[in-house]
Amino acid sequence: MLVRDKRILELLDRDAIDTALATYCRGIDRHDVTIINTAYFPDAQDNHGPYRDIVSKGFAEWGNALHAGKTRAHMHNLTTRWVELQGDVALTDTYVLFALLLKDRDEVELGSGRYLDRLERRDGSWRIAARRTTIDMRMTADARVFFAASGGYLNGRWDRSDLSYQRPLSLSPEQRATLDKKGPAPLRENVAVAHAWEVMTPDPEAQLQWMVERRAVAACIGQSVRGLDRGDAELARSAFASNAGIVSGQLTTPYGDYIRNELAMAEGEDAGQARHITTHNARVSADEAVAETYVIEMRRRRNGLSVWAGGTRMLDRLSRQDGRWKIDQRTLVADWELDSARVSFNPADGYLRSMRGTGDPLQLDARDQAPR
Amino acid sequence: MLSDAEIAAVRLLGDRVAIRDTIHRYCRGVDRHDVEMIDSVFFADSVDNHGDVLCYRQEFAAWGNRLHENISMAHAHNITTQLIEVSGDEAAAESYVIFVLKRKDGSTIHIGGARYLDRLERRGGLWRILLRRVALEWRCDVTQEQAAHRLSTLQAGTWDRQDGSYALL
Repeated sequence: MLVRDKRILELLDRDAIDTALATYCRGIDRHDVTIINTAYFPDAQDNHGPYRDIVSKGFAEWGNALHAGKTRAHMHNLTTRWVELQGDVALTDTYVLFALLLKDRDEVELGSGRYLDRLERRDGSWRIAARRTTIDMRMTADARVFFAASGGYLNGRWDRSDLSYQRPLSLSPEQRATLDKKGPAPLRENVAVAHAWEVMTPDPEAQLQWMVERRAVAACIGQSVRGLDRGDAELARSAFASNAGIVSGQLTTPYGDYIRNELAMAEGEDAGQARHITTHNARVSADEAVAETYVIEMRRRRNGLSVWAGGTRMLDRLSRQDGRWKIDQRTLVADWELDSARVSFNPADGYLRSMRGTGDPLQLDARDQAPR
Repeated sequence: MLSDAEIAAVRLLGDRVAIRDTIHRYCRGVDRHDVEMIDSVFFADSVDNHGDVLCYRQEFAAWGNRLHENISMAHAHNITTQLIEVSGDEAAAESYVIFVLKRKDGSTIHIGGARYLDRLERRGGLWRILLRRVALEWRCDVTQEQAAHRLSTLQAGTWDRQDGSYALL
């Protein structure tokens, strides 16, 4: 082993785990059996609604037939992540926002679920060894707009003619000709101007430490979100500094009250809450950090009659105290929200459900006992 | 002291972070209609291909901002699943995006999903998108009789430097 530094090894592990999880989505969304199977070990088990078996007994084929039977296109969007590294084993909780363009009617179905995985490193390669899949909410919406105007966009394909396989990515000869007709190409920009957020670190030690802090800042923000969704007040609180405030509009609330209010909603009106973390930009120095994190929040009403979704941004100021990152102030900004009564959630679909506290499928021991 | 192998690993990890950051910064730029920030993810000779639109950097930001102004009063571009392959000074990335637009009627929410297929290059130590093509997968409209109002007390996003995010970064 030439790499011994623990910080580098951890970053490499986390990167490889992230890639394995994304590989699954790419494989499923392209109907590529080879890629799907690359995400798992051959003896991995998936508890995936109707499919509860060893993956190599036909999971990929089952998944592809399911999607081909029901949809014209689909995307499995990975959002909020939680990774616990334990040597050659990693326990992960990854949220998924799935979108299905249905086949039998002009509608999109949107759903929120989680992949609860145990990954292992075997022969130096991280893959999924056991998976449990939950689906927690689903709604449909009118997709006629998709068919009304194409805008000339390419659509995805379920074979290797999909553009994502092309290396290097290029324009078609016709596109190249169209571009050339518009006039001369701009001069090649040999040296770009750095953006203010870009950190240039000639010193590898400094670059490494910066990456370690970047990850820690993202993890702290993730903790604040995960604590709320899992009903774990302690975990949510541990992400904030003792005098932290939450700014919502004109109001600044002590973070403890904010957490209590959100958790009370989950005990009351909401049967489920899922905060999907997406776009994230941050600037991190030695002891201070700022970050903007997009969230797609989804909430299923307890009466089963509607789903609420909202797009917010968390604007966080953090500082490092005694080696630990804490949020000092969070400002919430709203971009959009919706309430939909077109709920398509089927409580008897055979999928596992997320729960708050100890009933969550994350806590069950079967995830830790994949067949070997 | 880091060994040569360790330094190589740090550089590779650094490349992957920088590429991710570039793609996420694009979203921030687009959502705030910030031409300078949008431009900062491309080279002057980079090409963007969004459907029928095919252009160099100098035209792209204005086109995107106009498009979004014409059809919406607010929007968010959410990056989700991402796969990145780095090979020397070149890279290929596939990034899923969920775009959400609040239509001008104030209550219809338009949601769509696409994949950004990027060819990136590193020049002078900086990663930029050299060619972007977009595969559109689905779009839908959620119509509501009344706009939802759980978030109505929050600060709303804006398309200029008044947006709360500029106080931070």
